[in-house]
Amino acid sequence: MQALQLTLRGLRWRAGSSLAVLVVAVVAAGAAALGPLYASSAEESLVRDSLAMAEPVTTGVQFRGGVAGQTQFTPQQVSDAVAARAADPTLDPWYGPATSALTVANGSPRIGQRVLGVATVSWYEGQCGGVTITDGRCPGAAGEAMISSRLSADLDIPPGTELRLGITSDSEVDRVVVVGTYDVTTADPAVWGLATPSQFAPAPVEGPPDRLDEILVGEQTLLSSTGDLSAVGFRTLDAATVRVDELSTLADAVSSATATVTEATGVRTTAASNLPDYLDSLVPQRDAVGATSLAVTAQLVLLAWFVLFLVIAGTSEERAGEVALAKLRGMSPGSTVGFGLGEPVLLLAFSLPLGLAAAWATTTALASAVLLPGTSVALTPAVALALTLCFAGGVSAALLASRRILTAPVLDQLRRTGGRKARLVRSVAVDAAAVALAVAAVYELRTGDVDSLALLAPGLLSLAAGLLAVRVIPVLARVGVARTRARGPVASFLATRNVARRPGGLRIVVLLTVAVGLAVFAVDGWVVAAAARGDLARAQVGGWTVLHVRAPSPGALLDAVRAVDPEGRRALAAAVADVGDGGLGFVDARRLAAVSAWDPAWAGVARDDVGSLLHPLWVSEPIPVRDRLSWSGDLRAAEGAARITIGLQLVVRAPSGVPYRVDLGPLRAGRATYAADLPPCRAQPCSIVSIAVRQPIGIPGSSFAGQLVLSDAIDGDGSVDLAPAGAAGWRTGSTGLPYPADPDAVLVRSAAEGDLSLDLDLGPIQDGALEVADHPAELPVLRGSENAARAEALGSSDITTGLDGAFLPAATVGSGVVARLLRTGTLADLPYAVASTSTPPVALDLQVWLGPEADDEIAAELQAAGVQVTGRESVTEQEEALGRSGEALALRVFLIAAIAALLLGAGTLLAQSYVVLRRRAYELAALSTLGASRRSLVASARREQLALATAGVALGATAGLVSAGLALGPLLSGPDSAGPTVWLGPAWSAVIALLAVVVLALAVVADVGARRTVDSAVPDLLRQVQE
Amino acid sequence: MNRTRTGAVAPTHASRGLGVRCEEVVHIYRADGTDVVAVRGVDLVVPAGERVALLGPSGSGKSTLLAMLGGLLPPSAGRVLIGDDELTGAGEAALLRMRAHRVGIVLQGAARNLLPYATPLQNVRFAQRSLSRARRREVMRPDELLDALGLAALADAPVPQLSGGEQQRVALAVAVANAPGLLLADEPTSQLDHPSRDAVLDLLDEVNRRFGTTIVVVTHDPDVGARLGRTVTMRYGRVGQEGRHGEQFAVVGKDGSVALPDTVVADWPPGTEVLVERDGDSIRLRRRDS
Repeated sequence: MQALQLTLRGLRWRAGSSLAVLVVAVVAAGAAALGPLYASSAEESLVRDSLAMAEPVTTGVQFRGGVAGQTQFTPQQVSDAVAARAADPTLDPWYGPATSALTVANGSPRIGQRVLGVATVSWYEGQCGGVTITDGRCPGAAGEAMISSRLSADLDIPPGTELRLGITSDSEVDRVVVVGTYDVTTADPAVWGLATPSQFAPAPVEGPPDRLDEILVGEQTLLSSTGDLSAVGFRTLDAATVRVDELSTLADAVSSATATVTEATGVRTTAASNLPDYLDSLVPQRDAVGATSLAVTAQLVLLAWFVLFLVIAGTSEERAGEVALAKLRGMSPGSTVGFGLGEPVLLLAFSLPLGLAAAWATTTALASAVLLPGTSVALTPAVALALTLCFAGGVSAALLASRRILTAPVLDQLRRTGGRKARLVRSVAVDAAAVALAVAAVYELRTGDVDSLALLAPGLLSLAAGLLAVRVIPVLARVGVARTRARGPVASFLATRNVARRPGGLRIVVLLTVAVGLAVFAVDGWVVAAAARGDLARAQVGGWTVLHVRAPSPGALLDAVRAVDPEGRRALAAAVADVGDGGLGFVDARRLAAVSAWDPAWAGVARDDVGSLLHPLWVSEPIPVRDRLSWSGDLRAAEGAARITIGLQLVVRAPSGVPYRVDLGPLRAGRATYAADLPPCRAQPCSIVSIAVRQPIGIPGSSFAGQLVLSDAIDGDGSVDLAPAGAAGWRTGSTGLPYPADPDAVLVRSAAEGDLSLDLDLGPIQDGALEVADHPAELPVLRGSENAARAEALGSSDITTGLDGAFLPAATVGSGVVARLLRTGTLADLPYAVASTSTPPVALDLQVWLGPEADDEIAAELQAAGVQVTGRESVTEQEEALGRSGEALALRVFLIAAIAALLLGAGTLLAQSYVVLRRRAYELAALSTLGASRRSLVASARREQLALATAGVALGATAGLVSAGLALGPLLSGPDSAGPTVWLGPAWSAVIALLAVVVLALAVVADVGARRTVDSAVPDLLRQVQE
Repeated sequence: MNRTRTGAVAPTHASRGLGVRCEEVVHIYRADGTDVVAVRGVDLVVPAGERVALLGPSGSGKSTLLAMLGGLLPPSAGRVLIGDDELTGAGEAALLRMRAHRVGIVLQGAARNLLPYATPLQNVRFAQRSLSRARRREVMRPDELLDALGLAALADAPVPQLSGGEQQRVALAVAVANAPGLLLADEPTSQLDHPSRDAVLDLLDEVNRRFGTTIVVVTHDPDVGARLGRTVTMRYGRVGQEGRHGEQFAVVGKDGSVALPDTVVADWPPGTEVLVERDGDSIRLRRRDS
């Protein structure tokens, strides 16, 4: 107790240096704790972010049982068994209560004899609150149903209509009345879980859709059905409850809950979840955060230890006399060490809770600022281990720093004769090891294996540079001494002489080199990475804002957007499909230059050129037809033609973009009229896609050669010009047809004045077709670089996948990073893609991209134009999301560490200048007594400190920039990177601003230190030495 | 040779002092590449309980001799015995034990002997840290010691607020905190005014009287020597004169050399040739030209 009291008095006596040691120790402890604290929080944020963004189908748990295969059980028994299993309490900490559902997947609803299609008929627990009811009410009792508003509108089924569901042979149960309609886009995932009520699938030909939106009924209706009923229980994960230290427990609980179990009642049930696999997929990102945080904080802790060593070594001189007293009084070596280290060790002990508190506060602030709201900050065993290591390292540093005063002879210490000269705690071996590590880091970076080494490189390179500088600077200083001795100001001579003869002071160069190196790397890396994230966000989103919409068809979407934005500067229509190699993207290309956030240059195309490249102007305008079409055909057979077996077919494109085929009947010799009704073209005109002549199917055909002249074409609006661009307006092609056409079977002889003259030459099994040349024969596409490489390898560069999922001839006009699909997939023009489809399009994510000039009203305008907005994303939001990714989180902690390192460096320079110059004070006092002016002495002290600081800053800046040049490329644009990342710095403005602040701060520190020292160098000091 | 009996002797504040014996003690150190002989063949015997002042000009080797007596410097040759313990060749551990139990040292400059942030009481307590628990029970408690030495009033005063004389007296108290048999003090009265000097000398008297401690003091001040009773004057690393109660004697060295009194040297500068003439028990010195 008395020893502690004495130690505390000593600390108070040396308040300045005690505070310096405490501050450094707190920074060290804070840095040590910050790493694992932040890594844990960042991991949790990352995991929760990912879990929150994942579809419920990915993270939820589905329990299922069916009547199929176990018909001995009633639907009620199956439902009860599923509900019982879904109530598994092991999931309760993370999952909400189970939502039950009953489903018959293949109902065949009809109205009277009118078959509507195939629909899933379901009941969901809480379904009435899980969607927006647009008309009528929610079904409750048996015999009631609710359909989607789209189905109601498309198939003209108003509330009150009686339906047969087609789920049971019991007509009483099967018969329902539509009591309401609902909006499919508003389905709450918590209610629907694994399903979606939007299951609309268009039919392959004009007519009702194949697959209808889900029909919702009351629970009792399904429990009474005799169809293939499935009972489903779905539990939704609440991402906010997930803590990173519980992930393995969560995964185990889910695995356990989804293990195949047959319930005691005998009903077979299954359970499934993708959560364990999904959590596994997050491991690399979590590892990135953990490893990089460790790499970054390890550097900071090592730096802090070094600073501790410097500060304690510097301040230990003050305590040399007291330690000598301990020896003088005969204390044992152990007691002397205890006494000598008591103060620093006590400070280190104090620093642990303070450092932990500082790290906790920093992490909490960071978590609330940049991590997911609600992210916890947790004390983990790693934190305790880090603090223990930090304490041990600090004690070692204190021991190393104090070893001289602990082992020096008493009289040497008391006489202040200095004994042995202060030596740097380094050796050639240490220097060589540091350089070797730095070289290894550079080699690894250049060979592409980055990982955490990329973040260790700046520390290693800076350390190597600093250690080499310590070797070189004294040599240069000796040259300077020789020069300034002969001529030059006294201040310069004194400064160079002190640098030359006191290598101990050069340790500050090592520190500053490392601190500035880390800071420059961090700032440069942060700015570059932020720019890279911005680029990636722009590439991922495509437009500055992207609205996910529902529209009748891609063509309708194109028309609506063009109506809302006729000038093409605010919005463009787009569609994305998850088919083909890496996905397909279609955009209204002529608007890309004005609207797109994605830069076409990332795919090798200039912004101004992208429109004309993807949408080159073509020879023919579409040929519109409305309501019906009739024309006169004059068929002349060539000599030798036996009989005519070929038929004539017309394909038009409905306003929805869907091709509509109509048979005009067999061709007849001589002049005849061919006519067809075109129902899809009544409200709005269609456009002619192609004209086909084909042999009959199922019976043998006959070869035919001859000439067919089509003329006098008339539709509901009057005459139709079949040759709007002459012969060049037609070409051989089978767009809109589900079969290939022989390229030589039909040729255009002439096209003029509305007539179309064709040469026919068909074999017995040959078909021929012409198509309107209103789109390029080869669809221009931009390819993602990986897609392009694979297409090149497979020899498929000349084809792509169209809107309908069929292959199309294609011409690659650029490759690189394409909007939304990045390095995979292809991007093509939407209007031409629509014009190229032969069958109804595949499932599309329809979008409207908004440009920088778009205002908030455009969504309402689109809504008014019949386009329903269902979702929204923006570049800004995406950038924020990317800012929470593993690399960004790691770079952020690096930036914080670098700032801490800089503060450490500046603080140490101040402490060091105080300590070193204080020692120098005796010398300065002597010089002052000999007549040296105060001005010269201040200048010499300032120049000495500035020279060392400048050397450290210059070397650190160089090392930091070199490190950034080496590491940022692999780190940000490595083989796994999907983003454009075309700019890798240096971020000169940020780096220069940083260096300016650092140099200014160091200059102030050097000046203050110099003035204080000279002011304290009074002749009285010399008398003390004499004593 | 008995180096390690410090623990067994167990002196107390009431125990007798320790005798000092130096035989042909030499100390050589190296400075700027040159060997310097600081002490050359000193023979000195200080009986237990005696008070001795080492006098001499700067550089005469008196402080070096004192440091060797305290085990702070090793003799280059010769023997140094403190009581029965021979210091020559003693290990660091033995020397530490000796300083902990048998020898108290006051270095030149009172402040150097004290922890500046501790009170006199805490300084005494700090000095007693080197004692074992059992041994600590045998010596005076810090407050008792300060009381016994008339320093109780200063016990809790901050050291920097003490005057030079007070600091010096506290330094002496700290040096005798472990009840040593030998007290070594280097210039304990320098830079003190006469009242303060006398107070310090009074304290030395008190220590010697009360505890029987042998005292060896290095001083420039002849009055201090006179007060202590016996003086040993060193010149050029040798013992030149001994004085007892005001009477000074030249000491014949092993090589037959005799250091002349300063008054004689003033008249006969170095290089003066003299005739040595024996006259019964007396020896007469006569200048060659006289």
